[in-house]
Amino acid sequence: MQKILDETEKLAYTYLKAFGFEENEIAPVVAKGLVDLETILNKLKTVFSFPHEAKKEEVDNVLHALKGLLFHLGNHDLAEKIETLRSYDDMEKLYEVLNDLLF
Amino acid sequence: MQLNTYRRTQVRQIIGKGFKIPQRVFDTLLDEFNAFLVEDDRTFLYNVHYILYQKKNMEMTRKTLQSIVDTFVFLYEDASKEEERQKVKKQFDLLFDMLFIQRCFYSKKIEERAKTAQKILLHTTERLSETIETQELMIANISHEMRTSLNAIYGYLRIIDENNTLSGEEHQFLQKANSATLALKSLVNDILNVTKLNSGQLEIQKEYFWIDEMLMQCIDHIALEMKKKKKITLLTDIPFLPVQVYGDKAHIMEILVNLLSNAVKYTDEGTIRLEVIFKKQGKGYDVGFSVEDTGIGMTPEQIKTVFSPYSRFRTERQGLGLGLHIANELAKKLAGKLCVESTFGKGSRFELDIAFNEIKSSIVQVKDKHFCFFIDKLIHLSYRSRLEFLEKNGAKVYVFEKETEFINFLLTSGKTIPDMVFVTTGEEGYAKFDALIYYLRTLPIYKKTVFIAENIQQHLSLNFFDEVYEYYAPVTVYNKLLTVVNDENKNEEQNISLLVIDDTEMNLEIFKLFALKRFPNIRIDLAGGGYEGIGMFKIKKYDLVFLDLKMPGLNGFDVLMKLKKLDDIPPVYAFSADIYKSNIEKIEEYGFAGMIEKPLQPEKLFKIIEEVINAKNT
Repeated sequence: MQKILDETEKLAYTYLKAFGFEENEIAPVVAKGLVDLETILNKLKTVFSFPHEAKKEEVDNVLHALKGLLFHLGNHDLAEKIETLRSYDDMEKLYEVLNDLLF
Repeated sequence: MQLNTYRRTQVRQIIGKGFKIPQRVFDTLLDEFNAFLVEDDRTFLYNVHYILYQKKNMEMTRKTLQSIVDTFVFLYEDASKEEERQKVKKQFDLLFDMLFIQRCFYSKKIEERAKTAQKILLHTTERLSETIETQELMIANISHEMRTSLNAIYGYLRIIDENNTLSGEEHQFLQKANSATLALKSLVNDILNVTKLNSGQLEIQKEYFWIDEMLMQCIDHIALEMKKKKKITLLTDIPFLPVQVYGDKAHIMEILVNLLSNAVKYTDEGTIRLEVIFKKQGKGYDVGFSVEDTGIGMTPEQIKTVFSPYSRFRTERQGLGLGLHIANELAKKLAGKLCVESTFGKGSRFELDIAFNEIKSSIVQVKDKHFCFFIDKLIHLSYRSRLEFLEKNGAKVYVFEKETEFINFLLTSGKTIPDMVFVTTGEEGYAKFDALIYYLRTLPIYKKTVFIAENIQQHLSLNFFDEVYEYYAPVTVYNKLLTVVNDENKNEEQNISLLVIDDTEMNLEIFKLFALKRFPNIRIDLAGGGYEGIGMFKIKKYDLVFLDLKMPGLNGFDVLMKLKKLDDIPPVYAFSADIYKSNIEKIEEYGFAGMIEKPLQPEKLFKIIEEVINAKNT
């Protein structure tokens, strides 16, 4: 998870700086975004506590939030991957993929 | 091999070289040694073991071993038969084995056991830590979910309240349900904060901010509580610091709001005094904030536990007593210090000291500007310091205490039209001046004048003042408003109010960041959920609304349906990351003005805002 957080932090600065923001303008936003990201990733872990019992709708809600956040933090590749994963119906398989991708 | 008399005498001599042992003890020792030689009795061996490993006397150990070796050498040489020699050798080997080899095995075993114990301990610690983490996560998640549900309950209660369908006792019940929900919300927030603090998740987020502005926001937070306590007065002494400081504004505010809120809670009549002291320190400032009340105070025992979690002095007061614990932990996290002094029955004084090492000099552009003040109350010291500050910075200041003189000045001032007019008066006075401003606005010379009502400690419906302040307007506001007034375009933008509704805080922040970059003077309100958004919409007029479609509780479509039941709604744009055909069709079908995608496309956003500004100004 830390890898994703570190990678996203770097991308967020690059992404937002490209719009002409100063570092001190974006630092609090990025910091807040990373806290949100960690919370969402933890929530994802929670909904997958028992992968075979995970509910698709619940998982989709978290993935939706995760995707939106990653987009805003400039980690577009990962956001797009997450979007693709939302089509999975097999929750156990999805958990395996997410586990490799995020945790 | 037996110890006969000759051998006993010889052994006594050998041992006597190293030790002075009384006869009786010596006899016992020789008997035990004999029993070891003849019957393999271990008593002798245990005694030697004791001397070697328990006494821990190096000299005694050396002498003991020397005596044993010498004795065995003597016995071996003295043995007449091969069988006896073999017996001596065997017992010596046994002794050596028991004393050293077995000891090594034993040590090895102990070491292995220690390692096993260590592994078990490590495993247990890991499990325990996982359990604690899981529990904390669970508490955080539950609290988070509770907060969402509470927001929904609170939203529904507000809707019922605003519909005015209940009366008499039922309305009273609703009020009680409202205040209980608020208390529960505050409790859940406290638990979330404590969880964050304990898990180290609490992030310090620094930004440049004005201290006086922050303090006014703190006062705004407690304004409602203050109104309920009619016999208490808030006195402020906030000298003006003409620089922005770099610090964690949100958390400093949280501490100060907690201190002020406690002061209100524990004071039934008298005063609450909010003071600030600045001290230049290197490149920055040391700032001392103090909140003093004339409330119930605390006993020395209560002071000792005041910052402990779950301390609560009076059960009839709301809360669990987490607030001051959180405030103290936050102060530590901000490298600050929170202190308390209190006298039981007389009141308490809390002081928060924070060092701001980085500052940003900001020039307040008031030179040659005309400021007109009408104050028919006693001028407060801190207010006077503001007037002095304005004069020092080249502003022309007019102060009136008599109503007729003030009105005459406004109506006959001719060329010296004030840039800003401040009014501090009583309830009737504000209403009267509101009407006067309505008239003045019809005169072209007053087009650019900003009218501010200050020290309004009650709810008044004032329609023509530009800004209304519960207490005093921070000096920084002067600069902000003047800048706006002097820039025609910005003035137009200033009239635009946006409401953004999204359950992800980061999305809201990003939206604000981008929108304010292009339009620094538009007003943006952020709502973290559907009910909150509807509530805000009901109390304030907005020119444009952006609405997230997928939110817990009420989704974007539900929110739009509820907004449509209200009169005169502005364009509402969907704000979503789900760009499916079906979604787009649904958006059109529900009557959204359009859609803006996530990630935010700044140019599209700017275009929408510009359209609304243009529509409003034509």
